[in-house]
Amino acid sequence: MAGTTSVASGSASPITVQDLRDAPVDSILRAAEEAHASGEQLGEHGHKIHDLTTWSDEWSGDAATIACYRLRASGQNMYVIGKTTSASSTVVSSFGRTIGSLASTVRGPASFVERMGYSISPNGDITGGKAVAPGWLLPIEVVLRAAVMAARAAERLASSAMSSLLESLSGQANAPELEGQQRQAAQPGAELLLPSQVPVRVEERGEGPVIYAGDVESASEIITLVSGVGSDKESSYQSNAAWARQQVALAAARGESLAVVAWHDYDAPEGLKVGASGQRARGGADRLREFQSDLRQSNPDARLHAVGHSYGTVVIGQAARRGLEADRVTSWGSPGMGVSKRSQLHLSQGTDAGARAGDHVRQSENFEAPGEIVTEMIAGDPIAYAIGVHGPDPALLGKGPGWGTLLWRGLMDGLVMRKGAEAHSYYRWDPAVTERLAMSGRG
Amino acid sequence: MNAATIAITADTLRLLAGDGVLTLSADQIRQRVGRLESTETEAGDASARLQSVIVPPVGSASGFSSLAGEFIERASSFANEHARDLGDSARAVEVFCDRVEESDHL
Repeated sequence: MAGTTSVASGSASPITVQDLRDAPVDSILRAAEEAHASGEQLGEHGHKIHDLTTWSDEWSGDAATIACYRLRASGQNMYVIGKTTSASSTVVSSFGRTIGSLASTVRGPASFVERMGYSISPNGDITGGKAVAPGWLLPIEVVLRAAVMAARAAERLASSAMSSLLESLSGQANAPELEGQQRQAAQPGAELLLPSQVPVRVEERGEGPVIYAGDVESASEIITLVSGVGSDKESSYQSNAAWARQQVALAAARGESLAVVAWHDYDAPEGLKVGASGQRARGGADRLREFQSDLRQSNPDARLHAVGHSYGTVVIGQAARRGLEADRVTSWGSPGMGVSKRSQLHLSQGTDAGARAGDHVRQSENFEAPGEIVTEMIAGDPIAYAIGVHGPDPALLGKGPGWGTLLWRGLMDGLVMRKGAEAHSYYRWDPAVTERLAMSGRG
Repeated sequence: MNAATIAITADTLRLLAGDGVLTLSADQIRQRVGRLESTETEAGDASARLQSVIVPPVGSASGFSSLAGEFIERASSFANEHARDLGDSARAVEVFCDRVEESDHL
């Protein structure tokens, strides 16, 4: 699923009596059937990926787990699109049946009125003709007008439902500028850099290591990844290091210069109970602010992108309360960012945002909120049930999705979660999510 | 097929596997990969069929028809991308199996 959608609303022109009489009802219903069939097929294909990747008997370990996450994430995305498409076909079908019923209602009376030598306005008024319309035509006029009004209401309702489903196709919010961006394929002829060839440097700090992949001094974009609960262990450091190297290699294949930092210099909660408190996040926030300021100083031209996963978004939120050097913040599976409104997050953009060179380390009161916040919530991520523990859903801090979209996403969560709670672990390895991360860097 | 993505993903799996891969039954995994690739093809076909769906407008009132068309276009495009991702990842697993066998880490 790609960037946030913006949708049109309403009709180019309202439905008229003549439109109803000529309505292509059969074609609409046939389109609904075809869309339903395709949606169901996509859903089934997505569904079976889960079984095909249950391979612990044949293969186990971190690589097996990550391969599984990567494949299941794509399968799940396909499943959600399939189910959403099926729902859209129901909207089309309902609209078609309603229009069909109204068309049947108006065709006979409208023909009769015309045979009597009168005209019918687009709104259903009986006008003109040889004489003033007699009073006995009034009931027919009422029927025609009511049918047109009902058809217009049906179109508004169907459009509203379709807008919500269209918006639901996106797993991302608050990044309207991403709309229309296309995936960037590997540059032909570019020398392939493999993750194992990406230089890695590990710096031990007070609370944990900071792992650098790529050249932070020269990169045009630097991603700082802040992980969440349970990330304070060796296996997490290793998988984040592999992820960081992979992102640098993928960016190089696209002809982009990226460095990735897995920042573990905070006392990450070891379990959900500790994670329910913001204390650890507050404890790490100043160190993250200092780290980002140092990054800005060491490479003033780079675009800084802070990416938080789960509790890591709380750390970023707490840091941004007092001003964080970041051109963009991306939150993955956030339980809230420790703020109640967008204006409490103060991000500072780099040199490409204006004449700010040399002024990167500044007092918190000088931070404005020009940076961008992108939120991602994968369908079936159980963290959705923890939203509120650390403040509202970050997606609602800006221009949030409508109620219809939220309702549909909630339904999808329920459907997907029946397979388990592992969707919370997909973000780093979901090709669609990381592709959007890359696209956001081109914004 | 995105050769760069496949090579990079396979290499990432190799990094994650560490020095030894003790439990990999490469042939069985390849069988699963074959089925994953079939799923990619079938899902690609389904998204192509979806793309051909047209919801006609009711007269000049094209608002709903446009929205439905936009939905179908995006849904089929996204489904196609996810199918491609699935195929690339499956092939990366296959490449990973080959590399592990070649390097005698089993």
